[in-house]
Amino acid sequence: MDMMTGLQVSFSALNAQRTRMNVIASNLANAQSTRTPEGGPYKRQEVIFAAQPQRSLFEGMLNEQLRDGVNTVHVLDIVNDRNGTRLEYEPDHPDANEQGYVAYPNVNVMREMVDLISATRAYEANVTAINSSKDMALRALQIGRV
Amino acid sequence: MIRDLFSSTLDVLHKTLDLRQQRHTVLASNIANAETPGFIAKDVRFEEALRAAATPPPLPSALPLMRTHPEHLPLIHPPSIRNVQGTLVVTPSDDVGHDLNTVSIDQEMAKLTTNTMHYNASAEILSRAFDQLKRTVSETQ
Repeated sequence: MDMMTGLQVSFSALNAQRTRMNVIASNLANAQSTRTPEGGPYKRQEVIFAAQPQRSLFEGMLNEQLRDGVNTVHVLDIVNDRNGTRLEYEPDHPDANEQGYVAYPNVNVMREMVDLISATRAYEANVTAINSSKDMALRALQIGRV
Repeated sequence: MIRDLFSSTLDVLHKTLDLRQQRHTVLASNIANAETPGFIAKDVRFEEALRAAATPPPLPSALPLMRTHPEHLPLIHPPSIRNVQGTLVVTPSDDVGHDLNTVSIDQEMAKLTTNTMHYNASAEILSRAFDQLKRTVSETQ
């Protein structure tokens, strides 16, 4: 198991968390959007993460058992939130229905912010892991230097 | 004499670096999947196996057999440090969230940091061991 495997695993997580942050930003930005190209209000989106066993360049050298322990993470899908829309009584709004209700996206700003912090922390944790990998690799390169 | 010079210290350190690196990869994978639903945190255990391999076996006292020819097979195969392998274990977890993910991010970060420090320490000792060897062989200058 080479040093690059660890880096690849951490990089995959950075990618995944960044995608998650983009989706959260999109949710926050469109918290009040009542029109979309597909029609209807914006729908809150959510990312689905999935673990994927990491295949190394040095398959044969790896301990068979340890291979199962190393998984990269990738974004399996970005799906629409199953919850519907939030109705608010605003008869003057151009998108109000006959009863005077406007369908707003079901975006809870508080929840999105919590998600955003969680994504940031996860990102930072992986940056730390990358720095550790880098330190270890550098330290190993210094062994021969006297 | 030359075997004493290149003692098992180098072998042990070499193996330690290898195993620590494997453990690092597994811990990095845990951290990467800290938000993946259903992911089960894992760890690599090797300390016991390495200690067992590094400890010389007790010499048989009764009926000591002698090797009278270098081609004779040795009586006891010393447990080879080079063949030590880590075992993958599931990290026990008491707080499983709704998403059935068992990664505790702070625990994993602590493990990662400790592992890195151990790795760096072993690398440092290995450097010094080589330094020592170099001094020894260049004594005549």
